[in-house]
Amino acid sequence: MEISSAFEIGITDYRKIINTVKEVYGYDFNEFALTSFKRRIERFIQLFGLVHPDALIIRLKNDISFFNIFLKEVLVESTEMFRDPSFWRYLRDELLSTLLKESKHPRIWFPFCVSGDELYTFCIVLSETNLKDKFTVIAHYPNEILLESIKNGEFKNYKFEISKENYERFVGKNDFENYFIIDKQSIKRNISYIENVTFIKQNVNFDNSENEISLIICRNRLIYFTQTMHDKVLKIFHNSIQSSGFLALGIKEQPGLISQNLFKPFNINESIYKKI
Amino acid sequence: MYKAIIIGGSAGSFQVVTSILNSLPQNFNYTVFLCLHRLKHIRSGFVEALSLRSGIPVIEPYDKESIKPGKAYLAPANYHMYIELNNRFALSTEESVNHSRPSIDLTFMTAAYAYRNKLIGILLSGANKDGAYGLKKVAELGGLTIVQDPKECEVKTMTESALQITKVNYIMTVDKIINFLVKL
Repeated sequence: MEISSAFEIGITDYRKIINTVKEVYGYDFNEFALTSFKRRIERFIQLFGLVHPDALIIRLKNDISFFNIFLKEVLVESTEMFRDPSFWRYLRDELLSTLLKESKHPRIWFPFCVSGDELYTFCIVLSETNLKDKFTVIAHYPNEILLESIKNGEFKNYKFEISKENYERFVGKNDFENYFIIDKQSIKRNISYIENVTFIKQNVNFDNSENEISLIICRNRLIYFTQTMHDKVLKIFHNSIQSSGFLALGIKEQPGLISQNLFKPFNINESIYKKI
Repeated sequence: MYKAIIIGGSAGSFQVVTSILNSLPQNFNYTVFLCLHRLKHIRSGFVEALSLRSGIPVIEPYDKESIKPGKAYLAPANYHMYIELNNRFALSTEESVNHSRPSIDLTFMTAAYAYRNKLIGILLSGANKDGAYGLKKVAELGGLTIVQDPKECEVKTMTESALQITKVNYIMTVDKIINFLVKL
């Protein structure tokens, strides 16, 4: 379904919706970037044919399973697997061995898993380099519905072609199809690649931490936060990474002024930063 | 009285955009936003090509970068580019709109809210209706709207879609658009 840009809600309704969510469920979306999050709510209202913001508020108040669907839909998933193939090539050819030099058993953290595209991509890279047993992969997820869809290997079929093209630019070892179970009705991911991943639920403020992390992969997630939240999360990342660990952000993201004393550029082209 | 100019285009707009940028004086004191359809997987080369002879610097902004006058900002590959109310950019990887990411509609709409009657919206040659609704929003919120003369467009789908839903202020040839901008 193509969502119409023409449907818009006002700021007052927007605030009413996020305040309702906070009051009833504790989830705080006040520090989400305004334009994109407002669009997510507008999209959700259209997707569920709710017509008016008040209809959304009423359903959110009375139906926790509906709220869980809301939470799944308002969070933006990544666009494809192997997005920015040169990033993944660099990770495979250089970064993984750098991490293994620094630590015997590097811990990799995905702080905001929504669709699992980046997580599966990483696990495929580990498998192709025969390094699966050397790394611990930790993925934080926002709610059970999203966790189930990641664990079941669900995959939006429209992403297949672009992901396959990316994989070919990445120059992987296999046919991309080998990583999927493809039948007439659907394309699903082969879930064996994520069998060793540790999943941990995100808290309501989206500010979980970890410890002794060698590499955080958080590409194009912090763009949905305000500057305040962005800076706060980067401080948490800094504390979660072991000394001389790494942070991978999206290609058009940077730590920003406040975090200049936390991270220094390591590979600017691929947006990889090193803890100071 | 204007503060910013937003330009959208796809097929057949590259030459037009370079002519416009090349004609701007170095002291051009307006912010220029460029949202042009481009290949999702090719992230370098485009901004460099536009910069070659441009009168003002052409930049692909980072998320949350602050917006300054006298610079042209090009929407980066495979991201939507929003103009936030706090005078900063916000990037997004949400679904394609009108099969496009960056979507011209989205950049135009957010710029329309941020700049209202201080915005000039220009839509150029293109093979897709993306941008038509965005230009309508610029008009509704008090901005000035210009469409490249469809007779001159290499592909006229974009401009004609815009003209169908909006009574624009001017339909101009590229020469007239450039003349208009340098005299601002």
